[in-house]
Amino acid sequence: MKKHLANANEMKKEKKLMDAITDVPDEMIEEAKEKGGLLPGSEKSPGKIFRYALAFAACLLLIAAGIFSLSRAKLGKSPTENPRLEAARPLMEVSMPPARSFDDWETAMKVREENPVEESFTDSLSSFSYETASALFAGGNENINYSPVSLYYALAMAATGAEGETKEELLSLLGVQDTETLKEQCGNYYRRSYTENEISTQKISNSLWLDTSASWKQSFVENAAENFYASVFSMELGTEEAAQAMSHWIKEQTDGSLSPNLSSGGETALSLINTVLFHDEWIDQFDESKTKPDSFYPSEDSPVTCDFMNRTYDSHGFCVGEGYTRSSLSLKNGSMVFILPDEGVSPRSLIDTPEKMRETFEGGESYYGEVVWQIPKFDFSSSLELGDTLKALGITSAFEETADFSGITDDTVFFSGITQGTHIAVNEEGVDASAFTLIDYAGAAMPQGRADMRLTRPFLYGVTGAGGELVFVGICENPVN
Amino acid sequence: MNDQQIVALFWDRDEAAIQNSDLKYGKTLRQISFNILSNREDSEECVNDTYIKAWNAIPPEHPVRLFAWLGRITRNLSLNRFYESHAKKRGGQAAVLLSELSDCIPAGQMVEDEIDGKFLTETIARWLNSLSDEERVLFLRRYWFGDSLKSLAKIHGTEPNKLAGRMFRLRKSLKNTLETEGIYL
Repeated sequence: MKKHLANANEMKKEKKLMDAITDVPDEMIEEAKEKGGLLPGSEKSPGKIFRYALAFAACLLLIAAGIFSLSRAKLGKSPTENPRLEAARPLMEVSMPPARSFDDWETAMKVREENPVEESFTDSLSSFSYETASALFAGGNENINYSPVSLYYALAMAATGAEGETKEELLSLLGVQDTETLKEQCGNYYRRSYTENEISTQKISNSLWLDTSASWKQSFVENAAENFYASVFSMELGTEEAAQAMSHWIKEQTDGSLSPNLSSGGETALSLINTVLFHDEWIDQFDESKTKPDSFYPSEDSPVTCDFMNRTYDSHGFCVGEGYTRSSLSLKNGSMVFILPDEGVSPRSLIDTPEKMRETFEGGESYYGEVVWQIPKFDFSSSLELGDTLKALGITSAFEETADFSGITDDTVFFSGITQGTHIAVNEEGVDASAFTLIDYAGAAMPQGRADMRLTRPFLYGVTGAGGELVFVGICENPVN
Repeated sequence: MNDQQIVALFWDRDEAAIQNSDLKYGKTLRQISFNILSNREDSEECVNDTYIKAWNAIPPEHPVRLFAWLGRITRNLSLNRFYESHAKKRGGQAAVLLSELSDCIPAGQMVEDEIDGKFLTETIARWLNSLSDEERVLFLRRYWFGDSLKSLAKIHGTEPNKLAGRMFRLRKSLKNTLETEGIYL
């Protein structure tokens, strides 16, 4: 009896030690996880198979700034004078943030901690997205794809080289008080959202092309490299060589998915090119064997037949608002939200003001229940002229000859046009059937109804990146076009 | 997907939170549980229970370091299951760990003098902090993750018996620290 009590007492002490060890600081546990490696020969996860599907998008934004060059006529080297234009070298080499692997959580946390982003900045980015998208999407019945974050970065970089009214107008639309804050927050946000690993890519690339006739300021070149990860090139613009070098740069930054044929004509003193490369995989695959052709009903054309990916979730979150149902699917690094307008409601009517667009993307009543997904595979390109939209939103000075970009150059330059080209493809990649461990959710959350996300009529979508920002937003009017 | 996004999914009551947690940490959680229970089915259940507990706890909780948070639940569930099933007979992997930890128990205290668990954890954390990175990781891999001496020896490029000697010195060091601090269990 005494021995038994002694044993029990001993075990109690051991248990107490074990429990105390359980509660050592999180940091130490994470450290041991990272540095300790996995057990050779330990029990394996039960046959979990990585499941894929693919969402891919790429975007390029080209701001061609108009010139006023006094010496334009004097310029004009022949193409043969610079035969290696494809290898155009920037004025300053840009070091991209270090790439980290998909599951390198420790580094991701460190990057987050070292690069704080104010809530006011993300609010501004989100307001900018709704304001520009709702203005841009007004009218028309075509497929449209737009990258707000891409335009934001291009304009932010321009703003940090602007002064006076030009700067004030840009800052006002960007929703930031001063250029110092803008630089810092854009830099931090960039480092946080930059993703290039075996699963996902989210890479914004910027470049600024200055004509050799224009002077440039070293401080701007440094700012561009440091906060916008932008390369600045000085070369004779308006020539075939420059057009080729720019096309090559775009192709390189978008892994070959965009290869525009840029024209060499026109007097250009400054071009700003911005690309966004985005690639992510669904967390949950769409079983390719369940992809079936079905009819899609464009609002004005006759029905078309296209391939639809299908899946049903027994319990999934969705929101219902006035005129729409919204639900999202998780990507491994971000997510994709789909908004299905009620029958008879056009997608554009749900976003015709920034307030309505915000409500459509963020509002509605939340439910949890069965969600039936039927998503057409789609793949299209969009080319958007953004100049008029920006003028309507108050950016006027930057388009006039009196524009003040004295932070970039002492010569007079102004925007002559802003074009954004994008490409998006949403599809599935077939892999083995899922062997995911099924978990009984009973008692966790009661299903509260059912939603049909059968996207057989025009719908809205948004692709958000790691930081929740809208990397792309668009309307699919007809997946076959 | 980063931890904060996974936590946000829990807050949104989106089942993808569980899928993402499992995708990211499921393998290690199963390993922790298996190292304690030495039973695949039991450890699978503990990991599933971990997700259900997480689902019920977030919201309102908002863990910052999700792995440590989930791992602690898995470890507690697994240890509880072990204690229940081994209340009378001692055996299995966790029994070995507990037996080893008896080396750390300072001698000559009365049960009435028990200190609270929080203070004990703080003392152990201070002691861990005083170790080299390698020793700290080694200790936690053995007594938190429950890795076997054989597998740890392989990772460290040494023999299990040599590693056992090293682990013994670590346990003695912890015992000394506890005694110096006047801690009674």
